[in-house]
Amino acid sequence: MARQHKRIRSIFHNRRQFTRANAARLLDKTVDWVDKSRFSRENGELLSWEEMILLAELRWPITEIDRALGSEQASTVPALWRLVELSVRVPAFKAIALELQAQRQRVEPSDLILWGIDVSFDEAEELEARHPGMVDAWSFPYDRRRRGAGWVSRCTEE
Amino acid sequence: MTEMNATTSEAERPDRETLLAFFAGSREPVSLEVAARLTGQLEAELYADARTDGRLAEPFATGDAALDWDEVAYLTIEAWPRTWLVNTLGAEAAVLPPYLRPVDVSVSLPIYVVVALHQQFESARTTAEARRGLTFHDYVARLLHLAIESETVDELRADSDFNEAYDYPHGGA
Repeated sequence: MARQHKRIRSIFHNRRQFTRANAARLLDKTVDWVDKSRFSRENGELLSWEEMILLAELRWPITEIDRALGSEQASTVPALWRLVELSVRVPAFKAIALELQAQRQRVEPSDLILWGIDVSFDEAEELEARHPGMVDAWSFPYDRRRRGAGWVSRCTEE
Repeated sequence: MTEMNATTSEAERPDRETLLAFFAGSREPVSLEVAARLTGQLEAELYADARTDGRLAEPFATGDAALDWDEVAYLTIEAWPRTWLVNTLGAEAAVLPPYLRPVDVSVSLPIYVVVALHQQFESARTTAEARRGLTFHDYVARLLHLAIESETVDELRADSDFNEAYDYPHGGA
């Protein structure tokens, strides 16, 4: 676990480009997995830091990333990207199903809930006035000026 | 102003006796009047929806329209905040499958997602749901239902308590 946390910190803390082999080593996956999972294949042999962050989010549960970054998060990720505990009351059978599904998929219940929530840029922008930092958090790992270009590129690829 | 109050005022909730008599009673067709009291909807609304969807039960001997028991049970448990429903039934909550009762689940999510989720709840909640006091917890429970995959349900089918809650009210009596 300590080694995994070290890898996560290494990815998040040092903005740089990664070779495919180095990306695979840091993500503890094969080069083949990296190639199949990439978001911006047009970058060629090198993965951008932003692409690597997205792969890290795909690779590890968000709670694991949160634990690895620990108190150093303030200097690494936008304030509203950090995790907060949410307690909800749901029917017991749904709580049981959530737990089992998370075990089967080797993730945590938080990830399943997160994957089921779709937040659009328009929503983030609308909430920005009341909750400054929404757009930064939504855009991460891209910054809000570069997000537009990245988004167009991903849509074109699809 | 009066009109606004009429649309935003709280819907009248069924009392404990009405709920108990319904959930613990025989699963006979239900009159529109009783269904309206249980679900917080207007009789005309219930009738129109059921007729459109072909869900009207056989009319009573009097010729009055009726709804099937399981239809009304489903509408009733979805209509009200689950915690309120279970608390109102109190010691008699056993008339509902045990796994329908709410439990606390804690998850960790990015702050911006939680902020957006609260906003989505406010936007998605219909006026009727707001009047019935449906909560953020009920909204998340619905989202959660969509996230549960059929493989997970299949794996849990061996648990009779899970089955009973998942299929309710359409399962066995």
